[in-house]
Amino acid sequence: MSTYQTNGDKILQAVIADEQLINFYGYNPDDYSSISDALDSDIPVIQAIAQIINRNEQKATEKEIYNEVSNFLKTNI
Amino acid sequence: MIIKEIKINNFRSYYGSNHLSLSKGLTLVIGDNGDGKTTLFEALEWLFDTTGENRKDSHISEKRKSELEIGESDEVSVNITFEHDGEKEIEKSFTFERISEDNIRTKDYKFIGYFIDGAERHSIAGDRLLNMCFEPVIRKYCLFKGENELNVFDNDTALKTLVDTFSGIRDFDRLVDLTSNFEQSSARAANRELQNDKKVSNQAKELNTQLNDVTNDIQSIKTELNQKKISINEFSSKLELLEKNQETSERYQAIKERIKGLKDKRAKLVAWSSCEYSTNLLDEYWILRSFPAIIKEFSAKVSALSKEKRRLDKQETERRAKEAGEREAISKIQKLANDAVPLPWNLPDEATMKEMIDDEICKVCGRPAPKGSEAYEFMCNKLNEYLAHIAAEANKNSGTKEDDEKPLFPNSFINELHSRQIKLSGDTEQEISKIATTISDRLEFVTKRKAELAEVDKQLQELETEQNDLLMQSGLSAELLDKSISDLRGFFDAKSRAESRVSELETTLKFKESARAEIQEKLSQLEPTSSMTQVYQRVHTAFERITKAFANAKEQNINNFLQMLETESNKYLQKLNKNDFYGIIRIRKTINNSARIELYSDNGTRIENPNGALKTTMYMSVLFAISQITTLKREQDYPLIFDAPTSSFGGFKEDTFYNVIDTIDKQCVIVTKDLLNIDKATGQKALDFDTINKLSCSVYRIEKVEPFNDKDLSTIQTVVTQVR
Repeated sequence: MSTYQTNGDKILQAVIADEQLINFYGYNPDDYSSISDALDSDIPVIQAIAQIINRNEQKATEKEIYNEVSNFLKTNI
Repeated sequence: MIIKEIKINNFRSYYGSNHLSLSKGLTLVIGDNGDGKTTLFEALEWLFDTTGENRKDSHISEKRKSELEIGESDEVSVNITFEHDGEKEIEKSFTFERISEDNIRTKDYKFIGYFIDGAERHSIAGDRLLNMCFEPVIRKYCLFKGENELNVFDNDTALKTLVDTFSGIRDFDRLVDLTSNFEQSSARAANRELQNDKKVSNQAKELNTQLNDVTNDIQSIKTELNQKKISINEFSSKLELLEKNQETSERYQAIKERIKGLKDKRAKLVAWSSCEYSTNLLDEYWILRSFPAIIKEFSAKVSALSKEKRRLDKQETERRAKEAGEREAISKIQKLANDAVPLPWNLPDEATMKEMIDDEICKVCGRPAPKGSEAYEFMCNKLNEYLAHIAAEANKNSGTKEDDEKPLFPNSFINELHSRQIKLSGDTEQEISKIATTISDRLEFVTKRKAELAEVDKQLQELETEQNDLLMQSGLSAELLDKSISDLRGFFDAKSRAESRVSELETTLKFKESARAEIQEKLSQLEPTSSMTQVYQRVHTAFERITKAFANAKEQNINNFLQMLETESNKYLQKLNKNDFYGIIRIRKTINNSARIELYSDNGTRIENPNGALKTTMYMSVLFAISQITTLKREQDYPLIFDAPTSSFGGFKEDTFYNVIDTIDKQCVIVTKDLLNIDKATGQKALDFDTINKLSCSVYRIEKVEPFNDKDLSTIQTVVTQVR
């Protein structure tokens, strides 16, 4: 059964399909079909990408998103 | 959204109530020029316009308006019933009222939608319902007027709009910009940390200075490179336009030359065909044009007169001779009885007789003749007889002499006429005949030149029409076509210079980017003592990779969309050009992030200037493909409505085209003047039932009600008739 994909889900899939990113962080893009899947990822970069998309959809400001994501990366990377 | 029915009420030429039921596939609406095709199209445009209240006086049926008495009112409305998750209806309307002889007031603008929920019919704002069922962004790809509006990529933002709308992914641009800014912020943060680290501070500062320099250089190079690429793109577009229109330009120039030649010829013909009739009439003796005929008639009459004169002369001579003979004969036969010799008639003479009367004595016989006597009376009578005789003789003699001397024709008029005839004949007649020939030749020359002038005028008119058609079809200005050949060289040189510069810049850019990567590598290899600095470095690296991934994904998304659009478009192109050459559509992204639809041959050669019909089917294929992608990606359907899309098609192409469109599973309304032929019997346009009967779609005929006054709009009314 196909599940409904949001615009964010589609963007996420397009971004994590990047070959260089896969090579650097060694993940399987098929494991992350939605933003919620990615937000739960063990891979910080996948989570960071999901946060950027998600917070943008939530209309957060650029500064808010940067601070949140960079702080997340600082503590997790 | 599948439109089931259109109702138009008092909208311009659609007087009263009119309705069309549409099929799910193709619906053809056929009408001739001025029959209301564009009005139908514009009625739908008006209905689909959600930008605000729009109730123009010009939308009101002039016929209905002219019927209204002061105080009376009626309504303009356009209504569609459609299928979109159940049956729905949208109606736009306003009331118009005559308030004076010259003024109409509009009021009560309404835009209402209706939908059915359960068993109840609910109303909703029309624009809201329309936007829900037929998004504005999709409506852009619904209505197309003429062939020139079919290219969806005719503006710079078209690709972005299309990708955002139909690729299924929106807002990529914002995220790419966002991550790019994050990357720069993280780079600044990492550098700050490095420069504050005791161990690597100096190296970091130096590397950062180098990095800033090289980054600035790269930025400048990129800016210039971008400008040059845009220039090349513009030059390419212009060159392409000019090359594409080279044939048009050459044809335009040829037409222009021919027009010039014909205008010169016309000027000469005008000069040659002008004739100063009034001046020539007297100065050049053209007035004598009829002289030969007149002199002929004159000669004939003079001859007849002369002959008649001679006849009368002869008759008179004969009469006179006869009379003279008679007189002589009478005198000869007058003699006395017994052959006595008569006395002379004058004895006694007048004086003797008067003497005898005075003396009252007859001195012949010697007897007295007193007054009152018989003898006296006798002598008086005798004297009177004598006097009468003398008078008679005198009269007689004088009359004979006059007759003998007076000619029958005392004047010489006829002779003078004869002399004049002789004088006018011969050389003069010949000379005047020459004038007649000159006039005749001149008139013949002028008549022929006038005929040539009429022919030249006709050719000129045809050429000027051809020239205007050419300008209209190409969409280019006369100025551009005039200077295209010289400009071609200039653009080509400029493009070559820009390309050469781009090549230099790209080499420099590669070098600078390599240098920057090297510096960045050195920066990343610095081993700061502070673990926090290392963290900042790692965060920056992560942002760098994320930014690249977003940029690549955006690019990939566009490419995927274009690929999908290309694939779908080619399917329709093949269908629409059944049994004809059609080539391959390629949709190429341009430097300014727009796109261009191009046609290629299978062997990779670009078809620079496809013919009108092929170009139209190419653009229509892309529209059908967009509609198809909408159905696939958004699970929505919408009608494609075209006003006169096939102007450049020939009869055969039209037949095939409609047959194919008829089989495509898309709601499509085509308003056209195709499939109308001239009926040889009536000279009127009639539907081409041979072709129509082969179609399975709904066909409507729209036409003006006759009779109408061709100068009075209020006599124009369109009627809609379902043909099949």
